[in-house]
Amino acid sequence: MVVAHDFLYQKPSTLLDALKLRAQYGEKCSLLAGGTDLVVNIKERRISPDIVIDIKGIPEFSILEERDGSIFIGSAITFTELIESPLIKSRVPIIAESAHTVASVGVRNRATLVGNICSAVPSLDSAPALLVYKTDVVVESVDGKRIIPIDKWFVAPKKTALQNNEIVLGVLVEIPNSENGTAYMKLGRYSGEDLAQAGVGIMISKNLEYKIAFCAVGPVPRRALKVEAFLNGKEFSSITNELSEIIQSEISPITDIRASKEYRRHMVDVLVERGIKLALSRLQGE
Amino acid sequence: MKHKVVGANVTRVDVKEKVTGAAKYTDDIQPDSFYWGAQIGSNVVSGVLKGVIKNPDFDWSDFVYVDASDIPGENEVESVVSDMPLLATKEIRYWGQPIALLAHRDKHQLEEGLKNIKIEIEENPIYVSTIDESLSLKKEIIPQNIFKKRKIERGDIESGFENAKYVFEDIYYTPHQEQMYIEPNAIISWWEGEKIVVKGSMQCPYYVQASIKTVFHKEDKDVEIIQAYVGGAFGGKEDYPSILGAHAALLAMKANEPVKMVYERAQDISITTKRHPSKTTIKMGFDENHKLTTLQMEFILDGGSYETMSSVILARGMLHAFGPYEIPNVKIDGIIVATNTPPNGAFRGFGAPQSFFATESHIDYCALKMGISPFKLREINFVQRGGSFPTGQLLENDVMIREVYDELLKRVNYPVLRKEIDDFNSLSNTKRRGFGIATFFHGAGFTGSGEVRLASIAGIRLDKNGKVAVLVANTEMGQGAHTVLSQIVAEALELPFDMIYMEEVNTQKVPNSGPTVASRTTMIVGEVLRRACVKMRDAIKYNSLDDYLEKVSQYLGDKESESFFQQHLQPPKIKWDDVNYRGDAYGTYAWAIYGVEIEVDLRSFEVTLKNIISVMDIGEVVHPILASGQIEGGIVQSMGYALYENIIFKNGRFWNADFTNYIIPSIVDIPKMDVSFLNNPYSYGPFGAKGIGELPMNGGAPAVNNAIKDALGIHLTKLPLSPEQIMEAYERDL
Repeated sequence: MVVAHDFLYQKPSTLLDALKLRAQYGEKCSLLAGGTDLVVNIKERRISPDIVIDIKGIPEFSILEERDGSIFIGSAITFTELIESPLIKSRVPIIAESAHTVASVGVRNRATLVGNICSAVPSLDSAPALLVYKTDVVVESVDGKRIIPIDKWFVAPKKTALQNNEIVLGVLVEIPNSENGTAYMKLGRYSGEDLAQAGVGIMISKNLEYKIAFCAVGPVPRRALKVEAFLNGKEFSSITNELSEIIQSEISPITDIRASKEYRRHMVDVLVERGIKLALSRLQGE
Repeated sequence: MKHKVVGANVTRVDVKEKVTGAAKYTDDIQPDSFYWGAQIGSNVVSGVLKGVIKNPDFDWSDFVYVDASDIPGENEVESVVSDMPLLATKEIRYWGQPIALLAHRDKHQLEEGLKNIKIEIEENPIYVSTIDESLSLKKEIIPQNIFKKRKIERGDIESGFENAKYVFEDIYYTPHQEQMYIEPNAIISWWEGEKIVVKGSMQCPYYVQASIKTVFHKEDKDVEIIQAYVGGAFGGKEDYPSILGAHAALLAMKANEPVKMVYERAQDISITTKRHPSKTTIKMGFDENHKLTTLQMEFILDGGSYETMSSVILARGMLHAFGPYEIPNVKIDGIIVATNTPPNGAFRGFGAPQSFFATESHIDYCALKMGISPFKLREINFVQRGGSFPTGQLLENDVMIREVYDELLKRVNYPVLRKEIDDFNSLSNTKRRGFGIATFFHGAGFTGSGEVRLASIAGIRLDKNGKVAVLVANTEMGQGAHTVLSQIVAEALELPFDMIYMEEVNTQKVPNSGPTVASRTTMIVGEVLRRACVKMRDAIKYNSLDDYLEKVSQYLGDKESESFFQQHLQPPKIKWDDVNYRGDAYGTYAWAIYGVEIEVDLRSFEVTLKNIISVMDIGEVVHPILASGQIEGGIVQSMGYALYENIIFKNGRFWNADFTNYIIPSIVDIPKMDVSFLNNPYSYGPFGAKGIGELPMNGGAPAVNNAIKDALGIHLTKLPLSPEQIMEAYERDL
């Protein structure tokens, strides 16, 4: 059966109307932006909301702009819009790079970055990119606005810090003030639209400050602070045993259908090395 | 002989409907009023059914409910061995096994109804899900867990191994493979008085008819089976529609309205048939000249929880297991074991991809061990014209293995390619390239005396306006069969292609020309049709298109039309002994070789396919574009089998029943392909054509495995050839 479940569909045209509906229905409501996760979840009976609130009719959610040294990405902004945005490409390029690895063209035309982080699956491609920048998630409810730093956003697999009366307006990504090179490395099983077996986001600034974040190798995507501390100020040539030990202490991959934990552990070292080299070469303008 | 229509790239006969979207697939068929049907399946892997309880507080008035007590005839699924009940009454052998059926006009209500049905099963927590578990008798599903054993023997393997200078043995495993047709299984059924009509996505309308006749105790005239457009099948719709069709017809019997059943993807993957997993123990003995003197194999297939048609799949697997080699001493033991998984069934290649993976991988392994090139080893051992297969089948002029091999080496310019690869490998610190081949074949048509037993009848009908309808039960499922059969008829009648058209594939309109399986449609049915055309030409002597219409009009007189039928004639040379497995297993074979160039990343152990070269002898090529398409599609499917595809069985059920986690190659994974044909006409095929449908599936996995062996010097024995497995072997062998 294609549609297993009846629900109310609402497409409010103002933020206030949306927040009121959200307050009224709480956990019984699902928010619809791209719908690429939501529709599948409803179809496969993983969730059964009483109401689906479509946010695409509300202008605030479709904003993609520079605001006081940051870039605001509204909740209805799709991956394709990010890939095609000169602002994203020039100021926070790793977001465009990771967006490119999400699923396929058709999915990217609908799916949104905010929807991606709301799914909070361990493998989500957007997380390492957002984690290496100073990113805030901007949420609102009828009671007012709240700012949640991205490193506090992912609480557990498929669970975020969002309350059930809140809606995410968008994310605010601070533009780094120094020159930097970035790279997103993703391991998939094939060249098709695969979920990450492991993902590594890397940013290196001119003064050799490293930002490194992982996805798919632990319950939630996260920064690798010990790895960063070890690397900061150092020139990089290749993975040493010491560095590998630190990297391995920062991840806790599992064996699942996509890969074994041994292979994931092995590959994180490889992806970090390749990512750092790529980011450095980009920093040097190669 | 120069042909006009055969060999030409005519426009597909179904192109307009498919390109414009006018073609109605089963889910597109919407009668004014109809019921949606659903299946109530077991929620445990193994146990004893105690009862089905319908919530007494729920309003059941607009529902139709069916269980085994409603079956008017036999509660069984008609197959080679009809050991599976259509609806379970007592024993539960696999998760999802059909127990009852429910229908409602409204999908949402149906969903509600399903929630209000409780199945009570006394669960048996012990179950077996792999060949090794089955053999350990951790649980006995049937006595010894063995459905069937077969044997092929020639010479004396004892003395063969005693006298051999080199002997190598290993064990190879292959997993389930899902067909992943685009359109899941779908059927609609209704009754017209006493007549049952079933229309749907299927390969074999007369199989469905046989199933319905058994379940309802009906005669042929009271069971009308119609093929709808089919969105891919690959064997997956050979036997399953026999189950789904009977389910829909049972619901329709009680609903007094059409009932439509369309599986969701997850349901389709979870409970319908798949390629049999295999375990092959193989031992080869060579003399001092590297001549393969002795082969011993134990070829075990996982039949799933009921035997159904596994024995014929075992037979085909065994009858291809010896590879394209002349071997004096051979013993092949074939075994089908039972597991608590859904019954496995037909999938392109039908047992041969499993056995070729073992044999063609093992040949390269032996070459590596003996320090001889795998190319040289094959050259020494290829079966020659005038040679024979271990069944005693004499191979005369139709052996083409050396020819396709020579052509491949020429096409890739092997010495140059070898040097390129070696140079690359000596310069690169991060990557290794490799080139591997697999040499293989496929026998078209049913095994042994199967075609004699089928006794297929096909025909043509001459209409008043001079057009000719093709009357076959063989189905178009994307492969182009209806175009190719129309070409054969046009050629045989020397009429323009557009004067030929296909009659609807409907058991009340076309004769039983057999199932659309076993690479038999072009070669077997095509030849039957050609002979039917000869009958028409004997009856109506026309010289050209100019006098054709006049002669037709004279011949028909007042009649609207006249049909000409022909039954399959077994080529006189074919002799087969079903008991001892001796003789001509197949009328002829199509011969093939793949050369696969790969690149392996030495850090990530990911395999990139760089180039795949295929050379095949498929006799006369009826439609070059369609034939190439068949081969290219088959190559991609076999690459999925080689590198990605793996059904995971967890907690008693298929765990990755979706496109997200069951990985098949996507368009961006497809490498460069070079497909070419040698043309050695088969005298008993229509205008020299042989069957090609399954052939391309047989060689992909061993060719990739051999390329990995060439690149890294490692020996892998399990599909899929995952980066994990490569990493483990590479680090172990260092």
